[in-house]
Amino acid sequence: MDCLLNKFWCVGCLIGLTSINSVYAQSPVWKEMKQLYPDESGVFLERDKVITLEAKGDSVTATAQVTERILFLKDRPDNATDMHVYGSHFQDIENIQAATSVWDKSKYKDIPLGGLTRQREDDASIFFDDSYFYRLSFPATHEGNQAYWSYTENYRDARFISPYYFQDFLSQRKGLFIIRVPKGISIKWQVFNDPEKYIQFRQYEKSDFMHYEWKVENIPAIKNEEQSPRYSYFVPVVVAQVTEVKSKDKTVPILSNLTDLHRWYFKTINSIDEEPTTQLIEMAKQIVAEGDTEIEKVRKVFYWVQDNVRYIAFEDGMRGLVPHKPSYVLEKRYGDCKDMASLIIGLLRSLGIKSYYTWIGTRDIAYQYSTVPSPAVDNHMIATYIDERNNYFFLDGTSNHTQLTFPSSMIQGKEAFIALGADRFEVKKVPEMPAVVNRKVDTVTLSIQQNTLAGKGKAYLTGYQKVFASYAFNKTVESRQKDNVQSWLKKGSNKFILNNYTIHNLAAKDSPLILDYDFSINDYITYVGSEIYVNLNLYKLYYNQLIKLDRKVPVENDYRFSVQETYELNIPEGYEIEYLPPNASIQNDVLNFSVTYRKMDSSVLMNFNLENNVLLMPSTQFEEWNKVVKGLSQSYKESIIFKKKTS
Amino acid sequence: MRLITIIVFFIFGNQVVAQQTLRNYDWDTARKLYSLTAEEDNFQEYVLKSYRGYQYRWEGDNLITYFTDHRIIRVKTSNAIERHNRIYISMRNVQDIVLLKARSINKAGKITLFDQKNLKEVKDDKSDNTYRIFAIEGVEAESEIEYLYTLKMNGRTQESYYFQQETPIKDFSFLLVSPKSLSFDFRIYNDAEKVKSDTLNGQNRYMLSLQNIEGLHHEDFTFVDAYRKRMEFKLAYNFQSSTARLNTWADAGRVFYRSLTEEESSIGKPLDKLISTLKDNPEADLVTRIKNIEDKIKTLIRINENSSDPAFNDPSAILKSMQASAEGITKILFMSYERVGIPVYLVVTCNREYGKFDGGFDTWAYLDDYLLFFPQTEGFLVPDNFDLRYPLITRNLSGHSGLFIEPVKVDNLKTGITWIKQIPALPYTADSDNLDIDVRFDESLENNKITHKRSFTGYDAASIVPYYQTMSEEQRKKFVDELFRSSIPDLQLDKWSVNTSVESLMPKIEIAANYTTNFFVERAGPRILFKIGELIGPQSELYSEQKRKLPIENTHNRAYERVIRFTIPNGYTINNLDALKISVEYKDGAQVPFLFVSDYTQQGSVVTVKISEYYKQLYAPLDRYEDFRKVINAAADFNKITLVLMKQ
Repeated sequence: MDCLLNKFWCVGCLIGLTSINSVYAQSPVWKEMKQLYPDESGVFLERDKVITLEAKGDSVTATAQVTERILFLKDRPDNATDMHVYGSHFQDIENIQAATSVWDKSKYKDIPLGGLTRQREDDASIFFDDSYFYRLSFPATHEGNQAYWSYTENYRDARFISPYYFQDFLSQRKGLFIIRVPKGISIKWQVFNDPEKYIQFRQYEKSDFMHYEWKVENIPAIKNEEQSPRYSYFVPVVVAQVTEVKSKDKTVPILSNLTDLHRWYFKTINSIDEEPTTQLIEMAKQIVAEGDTEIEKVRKVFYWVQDNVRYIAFEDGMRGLVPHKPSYVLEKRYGDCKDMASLIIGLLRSLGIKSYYTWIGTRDIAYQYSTVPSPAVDNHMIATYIDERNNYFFLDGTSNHTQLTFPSSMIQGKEAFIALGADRFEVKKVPEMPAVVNRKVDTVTLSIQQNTLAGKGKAYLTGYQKVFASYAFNKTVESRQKDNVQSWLKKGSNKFILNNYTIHNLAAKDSPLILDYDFSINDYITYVGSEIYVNLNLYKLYYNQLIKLDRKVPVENDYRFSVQETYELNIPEGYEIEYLPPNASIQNDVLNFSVTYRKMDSSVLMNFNLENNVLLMPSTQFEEWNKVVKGLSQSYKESIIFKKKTS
Repeated sequence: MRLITIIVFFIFGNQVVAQQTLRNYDWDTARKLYSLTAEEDNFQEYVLKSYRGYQYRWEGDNLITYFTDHRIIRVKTSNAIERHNRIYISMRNVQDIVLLKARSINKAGKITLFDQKNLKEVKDDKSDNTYRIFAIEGVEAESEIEYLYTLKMNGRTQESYYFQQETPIKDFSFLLVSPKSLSFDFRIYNDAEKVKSDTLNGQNRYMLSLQNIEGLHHEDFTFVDAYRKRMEFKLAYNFQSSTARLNTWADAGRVFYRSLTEEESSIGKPLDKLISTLKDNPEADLVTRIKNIEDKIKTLIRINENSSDPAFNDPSAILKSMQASAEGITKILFMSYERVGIPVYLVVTCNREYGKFDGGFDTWAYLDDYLLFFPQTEGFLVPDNFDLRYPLITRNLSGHSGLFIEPVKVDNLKTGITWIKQIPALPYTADSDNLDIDVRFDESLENNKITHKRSFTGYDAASIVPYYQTMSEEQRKKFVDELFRSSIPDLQLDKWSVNTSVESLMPKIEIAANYTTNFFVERAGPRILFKIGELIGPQSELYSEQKRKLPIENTHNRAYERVIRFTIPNGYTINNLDALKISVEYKDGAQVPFLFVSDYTQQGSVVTVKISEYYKQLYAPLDRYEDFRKVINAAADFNKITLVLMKQ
């Protein structure tokens, strides 16, 4: 009997040991989720945010309670499950708690996270930043365990409520976003990027609060793709804003429309309004010349600020919103985007020229003022000058190499919110610059020297091609500049060696950037018997780069551009042309190219043109793109054959 | 030097000796702009003056260091301004800022003084440190930026300082003044100059001065920081209390050992409980036991490098929270191995990217990294890296020496004795990236049907395998697709499979894919050009550098074995197959430490190309750079091979 019992005990013991990861030892929730998501490494069981609004006199504050819980469906290695919780002066984090819930036979036991401390963003572009984050590094991220965290966000001003995104890096079983609105406060809201209708809305009253509730169930994880725009372009999102608050017997507008936004924003710039100081007047006089036209003066002031004020951002409380006075920026010679706008406006004012503070969002943000009148739309400030013929000039002091007639590339197509005065503003769309003005023209003569293709070239860059190249070439260390010029001009293969080069007009913003250079490409030429093979497609842009047609996320570029390359290859001594590739060309709305080959007296002339018209390409255009890329790639495959002359 | 920050270094004597008052170092208030030579003027940035001063004095029973940093930098362009106009002062060990001033002088001589109101404080909880930060004001192109500060600090007993940077330095000077009873030792690396010393007014003075130090920049296949001019110094004697040398290696052995084990008495029980869950089998072979304990502990305990919470260093707390710092997990692993009776040493060393461990100079200033060493198997283990498992350790910790601390029992007292020994890099066979590729042309001769196998063993596999295992089927397919797509942009994946395993203790991942592509086929009229070289993927080209300054240093030893088989289509012939023969050997006497050889055989229409490439040693001298470059570039040369298919 004893013996039998022992045996049973042993069998039971063995099962206990070997089934740590089997169904038997796992939790019911694991069992359920593993069936629903058999292949995924984890799932959000909950992902909730509840915002409660509160009227404080004429203003509205907000508190958000955030709770999130992940169930691991596979063992996840360290670091793969670190979560970040961000806070700042305007959105302070409190009561943060986090734990791993470990499944122990019949129940979950919590291991709380220790060492939760505020950390600074290590961001080289921002010198001083009062924003911070907590990193949650969960232990025991094994299959069946759960990671849990919650915290409170305190908004000093309900205007700063941020858009709520419903997708994350894992699938979600359930997600909830609620705004609790007490009597007297009104809100409005919009849903973006939800073609699949994941987001379900309902509205109900409970304990004296109107509840606006958005819910998702079984929403998949975000799919990251190359050249994706930011999440605001394709992740389902609710953008909500407080419109007004009733205080005693009056109604105080908060953010119901652009007039409200302007009234609020104008206070920040009105507080720094100053009459031009002697220093400003003196400096402005030095910058411009007597007899300059108004536009000449604007140009000179804008370029002077680009060149002489260094970008240093201080994000320090309200300073995140309010620029410094022009005279302060002039003295310090550094500042952020707001400070540069301030100095441009101050210098122009001392010359009697009007220009305006302008809020704008970079292309990172999908929303526009006309649909969302809220600070959620912007992250940047520029100055706007309007000439007498009503031409708009968007002066972005942070964009060092941009010429007067161009907006900086990162604000193309965005709505600018221009403060024309205390009661006047205008929303104006910034132009998207066409491919033809952002151009590279590269003319090269080539010769064959044994296995090496040697060449001498001259390249002209204009528009954003010049701007981006100038950033790359403007290096303090010579070798680093050469590396960058080399990669900008790279041709043929990585055996491209740039020998000598000269850069012209790096500082002359209104002239094309010119590169004179010579180079060699070793092992580029193939000899077989009496024949020589040379492929003159030395810059195979987009070669075989087909977009998968099941991709849903749009493709984004920094700017549209065009390229023209001309190669003149001398026919090697003692050889003649055996074969010239055919000409080719395909044109459509997204991408164009053409290539032609011509036989000259003692050379072959190849001409290549390409124009990329994509700023943001929706999936409906992928087929058109692929059609051109296929034709382009086919033509890239073509080599010339030279054959030894028979005497 | 993380384990030992709590240790008191030496005993202070009664301090009654008169101290020299702090020298009133100051800048020249009315100085003129520097005049530069034409050559100096060419540089976009130039450090005109760099002075570092250390004044030691007793204040009561405390040794205090007054540390002064004074710099003048000439900036010629906006880019140079942006690199030098932000100043960060670390407040670690700092009691007070005694002096802080800064100014810019523009080319017309106009001075803009820094306004102290704009000094900001930043606290970083991750490192538990605060910084004072400020931006230099009024800087224009061709300005001189000047700043000077003196910090009152807890007595610095050891310091590291690089006095060669990217920017050239015109005039560098160093001065250390200390009471006569405190004697310092110095070591200068990458420069022949020595620190001079004398006594003045009853104090010791140590001085170094160098002119025209050139800027040193990144070069491939080396670690530039390790070759910068660097100073290490330490307080070597305090004659007031003893004539014994301070902080020797032997002291380090005792101190490190004690800090690893001092809590053992209090955590015996929880440690035993942990060990009982590890399922250590004393009958199993040693390597199996070592690996089992490492795997279990690294999976159980989360290494958290982002917090300075002291609980993460405390073994008792760690066994409750399952969260540990690098130091904490080292303790747990060390104690666990000792507890189960597996002999283990602690090894402390540094990352050789920043300088080699020097057993000849006993400073602890840069001993930041821990390893465990198992004397019976001669293998190493890195405690604070989740991906790397015995015997794989962080690349840059191997390939130089370290301080080995062996536990010993002396009169029933356990302590550590030290050895300086090599931490050898793993052999080239431990890390490989191999290819086996089978290529056929389809009937149109425009596409290839390819069976492509790639297998990683060693470091790359270690960084992929744990993450691969968490991926969903869709993510796995994307991973395989992207691995091949990076060199074959039109990839159409037909079939794929992945297999992970362990081979000779090394992690291995094999990825196999069948796909169709036109990427390797080009045309010249009737000829078909087969870009066979591109099948091995892009290969880096190391450019010829006339001005190469630094010797060669590899991160780790490695090997590449590649086989390509292809079938010549019916009716075609290839006349330039001999282009596939490449042989580049770097010879060192009878040894061949670096090699690239490719060759082919043909059987009927099937051609088999075999390529061997390996790097068997980490170091090679500067004067062999060209030979080394040829081996590296041989793969890039192979990359360019095009075979021409002609109709018979």
